[in-house]
Amino acid sequence: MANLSIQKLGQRIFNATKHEQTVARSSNPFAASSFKGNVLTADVFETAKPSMSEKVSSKSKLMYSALVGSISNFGQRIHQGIESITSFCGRMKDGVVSFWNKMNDIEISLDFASAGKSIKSRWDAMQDEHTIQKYMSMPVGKSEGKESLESMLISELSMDIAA
Amino acid sequence: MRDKRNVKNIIEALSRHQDPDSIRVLNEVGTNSAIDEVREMTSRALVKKNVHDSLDVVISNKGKGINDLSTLVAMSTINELLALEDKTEAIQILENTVEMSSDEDVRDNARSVKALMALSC
Repeated sequence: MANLSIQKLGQRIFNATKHEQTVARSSNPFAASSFKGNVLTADVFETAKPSMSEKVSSKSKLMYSALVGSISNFGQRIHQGIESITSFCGRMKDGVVSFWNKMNDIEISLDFASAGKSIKSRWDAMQDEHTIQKYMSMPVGKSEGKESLESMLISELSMDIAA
Repeated sequence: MRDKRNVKNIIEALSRHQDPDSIRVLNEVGTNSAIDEVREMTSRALVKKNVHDSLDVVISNKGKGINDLSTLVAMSTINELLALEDKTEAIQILENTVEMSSDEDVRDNARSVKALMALSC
């Protein structure tokens, strides 16, 4: 920044012809807008950088501390791992137990008995209807013969009384 | 007691039978049975016929149909009367019974059933 003083900047701004002459000899098309001739010799963003030895030492410190930390946490991690396995097994056991309890609570019953009854009742109703149709073709009064509805009914009821 | 299946089938056949003699058989054999279940089936069969003679048996006869001593038989008969699609003949017989029956209980029963049937129409 040493060569880029306010005076020189003033010369560049207010004495443009001199500068243009210099630019005209240049083959760089961006020379007009460049900082040609005004070399920055100092880094304006320069900070205090650590030396190589400092870098190495700080890096090593970090590595060592990480290593020591990892070693010191090793047993704890194993312990935590065992604890997590134990808790996992515990959860698994609880899950199995609760599943077993639920399975015991659920009553699975295939109601074959009622299904069988329904089929039987339908079958009986069909048979009854067939019998009724047969009886309807028979004579009613017993005077018309032994095979009449009246005689059959009397016979059935007398059997009931006898029983 | 034996299975009533065959008795039920015979009574059902008599209730569907077109022969008028079926009413006589149901009246003489069925409604005089000592078994409540048989009397109930017979009364319902007579109501299902829905003709004057059959309805007259269960409405205006003392101790039969709606006048049966068994509550089961009486209530089943009333229920069957209320379930009739055409109640004209039943209401006519009930009115005649209310006006002309010599028995007070029969008249009272007929009046009550008539009121029920009027409500159900």
